[in-house]
Amino acid sequence: MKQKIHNTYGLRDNFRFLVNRLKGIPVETNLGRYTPVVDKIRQHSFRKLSHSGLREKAQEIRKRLASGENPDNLLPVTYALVGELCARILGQRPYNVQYLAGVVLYRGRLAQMNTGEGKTLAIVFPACLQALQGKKVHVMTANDYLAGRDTGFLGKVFGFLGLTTGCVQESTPDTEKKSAYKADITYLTAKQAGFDFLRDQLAYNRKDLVQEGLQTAIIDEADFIMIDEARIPMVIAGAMQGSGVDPYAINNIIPFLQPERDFITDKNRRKISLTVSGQKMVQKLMGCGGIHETRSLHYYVAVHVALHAHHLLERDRDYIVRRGRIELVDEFTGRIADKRRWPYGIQAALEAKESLTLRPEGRIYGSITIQHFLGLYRKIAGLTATAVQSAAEFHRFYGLGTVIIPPNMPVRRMDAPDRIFKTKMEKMKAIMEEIEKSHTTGRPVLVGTVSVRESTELAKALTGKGIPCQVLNARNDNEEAAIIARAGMLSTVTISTNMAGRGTDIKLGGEKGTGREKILSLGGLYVIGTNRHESERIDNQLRGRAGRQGDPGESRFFISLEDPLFKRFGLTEFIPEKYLKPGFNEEIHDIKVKREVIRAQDIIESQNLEIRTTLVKYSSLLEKQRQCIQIIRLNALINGIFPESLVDACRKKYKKLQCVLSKEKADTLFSRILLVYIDRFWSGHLASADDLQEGIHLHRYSGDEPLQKFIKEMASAFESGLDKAVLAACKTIKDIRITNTGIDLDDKAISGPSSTWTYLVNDNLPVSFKITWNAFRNTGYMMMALIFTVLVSPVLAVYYLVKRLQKRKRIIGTLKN
Amino acid sequence: MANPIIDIFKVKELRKRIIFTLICLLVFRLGAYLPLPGIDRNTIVNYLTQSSQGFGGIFNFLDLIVGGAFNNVSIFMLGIMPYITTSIIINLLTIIFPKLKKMYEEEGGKKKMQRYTRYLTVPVTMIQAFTTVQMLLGQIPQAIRISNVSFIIIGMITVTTGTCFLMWLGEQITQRGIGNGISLLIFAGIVARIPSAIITLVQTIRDPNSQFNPVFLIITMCLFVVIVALVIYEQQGQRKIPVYYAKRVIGRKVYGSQNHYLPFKINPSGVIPVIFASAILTFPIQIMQGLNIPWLAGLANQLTWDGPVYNVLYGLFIIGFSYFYTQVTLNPQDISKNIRENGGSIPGIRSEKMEEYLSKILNRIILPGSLFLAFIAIIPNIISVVFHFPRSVAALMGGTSLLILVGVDLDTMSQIEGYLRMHHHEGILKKGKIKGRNL
Repeated sequence: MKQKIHNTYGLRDNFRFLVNRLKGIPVETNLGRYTPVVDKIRQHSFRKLSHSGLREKAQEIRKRLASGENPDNLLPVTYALVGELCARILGQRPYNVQYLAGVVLYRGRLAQMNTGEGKTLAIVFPACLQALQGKKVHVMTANDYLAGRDTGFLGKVFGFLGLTTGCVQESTPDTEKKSAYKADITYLTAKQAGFDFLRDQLAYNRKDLVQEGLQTAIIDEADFIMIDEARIPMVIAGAMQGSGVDPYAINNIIPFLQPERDFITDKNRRKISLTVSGQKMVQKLMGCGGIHETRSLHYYVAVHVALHAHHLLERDRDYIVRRGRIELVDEFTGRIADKRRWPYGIQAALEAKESLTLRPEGRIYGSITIQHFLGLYRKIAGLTATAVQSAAEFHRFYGLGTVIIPPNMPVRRMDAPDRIFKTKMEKMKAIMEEIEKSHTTGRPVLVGTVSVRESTELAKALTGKGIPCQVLNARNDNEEAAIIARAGMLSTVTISTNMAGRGTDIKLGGEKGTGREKILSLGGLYVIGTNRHESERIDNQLRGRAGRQGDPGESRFFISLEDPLFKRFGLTEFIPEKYLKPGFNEEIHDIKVKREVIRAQDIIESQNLEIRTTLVKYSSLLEKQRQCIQIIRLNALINGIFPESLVDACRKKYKKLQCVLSKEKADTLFSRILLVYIDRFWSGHLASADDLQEGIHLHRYSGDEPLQKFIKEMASAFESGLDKAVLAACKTIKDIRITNTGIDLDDKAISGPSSTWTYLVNDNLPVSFKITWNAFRNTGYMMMALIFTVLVSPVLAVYYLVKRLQKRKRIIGTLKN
Repeated sequence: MANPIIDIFKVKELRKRIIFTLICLLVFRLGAYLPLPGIDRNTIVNYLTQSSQGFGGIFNFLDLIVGGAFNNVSIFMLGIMPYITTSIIINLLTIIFPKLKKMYEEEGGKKKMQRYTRYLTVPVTMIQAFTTVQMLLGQIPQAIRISNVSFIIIGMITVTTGTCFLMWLGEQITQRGIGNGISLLIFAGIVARIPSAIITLVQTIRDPNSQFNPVFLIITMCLFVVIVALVIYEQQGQRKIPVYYAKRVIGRKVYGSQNHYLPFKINPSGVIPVIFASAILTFPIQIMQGLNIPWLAGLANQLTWDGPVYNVLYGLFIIGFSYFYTQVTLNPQDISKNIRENGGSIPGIRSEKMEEYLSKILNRIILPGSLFLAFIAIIPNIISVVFHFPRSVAALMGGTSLLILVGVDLDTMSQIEGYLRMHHHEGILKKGKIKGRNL
């Protein structure tokens, strides 16, 4: 059986590749480098081999790899063997395109593969080959649910090869985490890996370390992790005391402050600030001093934070209240983010807003960006259905080239053009009608909404009309698997938040395929989007839920001019007047309006790119510093090696302690004290970095590059701060009193954070602050040019022209004479 | 860090960047000696030595900016100036048309605008090239070896291409090299004059007829060192106004109590007032001399660069423009708005009085700053007149050249320092460099 790999790219795709190639972005469409390998894989056939025969083969491969044979030579046979195992154990014989993707992944590239083409299986091949070489593999899935599902599903295949599999989820206890990380192949989310990495950085005991080094990462839904999520750094925080201002007291005055008059929000809804009138209001209501008085500054901090909680964060969109707690909804996945909180007292303000009990505030103990974290792996590869649009970024930040894997079967999904309405009400009406129309035929419908609230509202309206529907959102995430399994069945209407937007595989007719033929004849799954998302990529992901494996399917988005997408950038200005008139109520069919949608997405995309670029720029130095800290920590924790200054200062004490306690205990005590001080320093350092970023843009006013300023300040702060921390540790060690019963040490001096959680840190970067005039300040070049063009150039041109004409006249005159 | 210069070359990335920059600058310098096609170099050299003033007036400034490329009538004779012109035009357009401004403020818009600027540079260069080619035809028709029409066409195309190439080169330096590419191109042009200035100086010393006294050389050199030190001192001078941000609170401590400040330079407008002043003075004088009106010509003769009237006017203009330009770049309204929108305040100053306070501070800073600027600008004229220094040498010892040299130098150095800092951490990271021992 020889399957052919189709090369089905549209004209538009081909044009994009050409443009990319001209720009030097590596997007490969020519698969000539990979297909021969697939042919080689196909040459091995293990169909006739018995179970034990396969086992022997696996042993042989293992041995050959262990003896140092080049893994590249063993790739075909390994892949063929794994393929046979998949067929026997899972009942899924891999397609050629899956082998192809496997090869591409092994070469450390990014594979673009359509939804439903079997990405899960494609990962198995490189994971096996890598793990058989004794290199640990982290397979990063888009969410915890998928991590759990894949571990259970694929564990047998790995087990057959003698490889262990582990799975780490947010709820996994630390004890199990450790064994999961020890496994050859670990399934987890990228965030989980990152946070555990950060937690390890806070460990005070050797046995508390859970991770076993970062070797290989294979990232599913790569664009989601490496691009969408990469905007927000991963931060770990520990408990500490609050700010001293009662959030409830502040909460009471917020209703008195009116938008526009007392405070203003910026157009991207990221910042909120008091106006002069608002400041006066606060002064009056709180009875404190003005904002310019240092002693009352903290009131204003609290007011800003409370305003943020009240006006920028919305219940049932950004968070839900469950079991008397605020639970954060992840912006991208639509899922509840466990152990995650808002920073800088926003969490407390929210708790006050929702009248809940206040929980302790946090202090940042460690932070890393996704870009830098993934950079720590020796080898990374990824795959996703939507990579091309961001190929340039993958290459720039991760050094990954993109390879486009053609679909196994040509895509037959119909992407219908958007329908645009003026008001949200009309849009919802049209959506309801559309759902009803499809539902009466029995066709399954998946509706993608943007928030928990929208999904429940729509469900209520549908039930009111007598259309039964199931809802998938952060509130009922435990039923996710069952809901997804039913979503492809006859007459099912599923309303979901972003949770179904990625990674979920909706099979027509459910697992058993009941009524599949009928559904196919009805046109397959119908995906309706109630909003366009921040980027075309995310839209395409939702569309991709329909039409898997060459099935038919349809997708359509509904838009209204009242959508946040339009409002956020004031794009309504660009929409022709006639549509905005009060009398106008019809559906809009104007190409101009459609273009505005694309424009809005372009703007957001480039804005987010800017945020990510700035984030990487500003965090590069901190990442180097973090690595220094890590080395010092690990040296002390594992090897018992301490900084020289400490060794010199405390040798005598060490000897004494060694006599009193055991050598081991003395070592532990020393490392504990050192680590506490190092961590305190690092936490303070991060806080001041964070703080410095807030005002660093002011340096533009003196013509300096803020980034340079930041690097300089943070670099010297690090060097002096680290020395100070070590000195402080020395002092504590010297102060240890040795008593008859042992040692006397102030517990407070060496206590670390009592509990940790992760933070959602956003928007504190000096993005997009520009003073264009200053750019050429030092050369005065600009002025020169201005004068030359505006004044000199035209005058001179005329002057010389006239002169030449005069001369010619004179010559003619003399000739005449 | 034993020796910073050795350190610079130890860092691989830095080394690569510096070498790249040097190669780019070399290309630029080579191009600055390639004459336009259809022109006879010897004739131009003769013309220039005879007139000893270059093309005179405004073109001497031009020549300064394009690094001698103008007087060479080279393919880079316009330098990247048209590019900057276009930036300004686009900038002005965004002020006039709100739609454009909106586009610019969107994040993708910035890049789009950059692209438009590049496109628009081509026609703008064509216009400027036309002017300069016309000027060549008017000034030195004897140097042109081909027909006027073909010279105009070929000249325009060549100069436009040259400018576009330089624009690209500058961007490459900014991206892959070190420092700001455009500033560095100008910098290189000025540095390139040093050797010829030294030769002139030596010739003047040897020339028995000159009034030049070698003793003055020593005095001036000492003076020069002092001036350079002063310029650096002035460039680094800042008034720091503390700013508090009511945005962040971690634990009990409100961060941001000491860290943030608004830096105002003593001389916030850089060289711009000097260039503006000299352009304003030189250009009308040239026109006055050119027109055949006796009283105007007489007045123009009073206003030569070595006369006291000229220098006093020059100084006054510089001071005036310093005030004016600072208002443009550092607008207290804008600054206050920015601070307020970020939840900031200046301690001890009522929020609504912020503008007033900033204006007051700025006005106080500018006076000494602009006086100093005027002083630096007049120095070359003084040296030239008092010590009988050759003018081309004196020009390098103060005024715009020196300010540009020092300014670009400081900028680039600060960037290099950033790289070195990063490298220093890397050094710590490398094995064995974290000094540690077993107890």
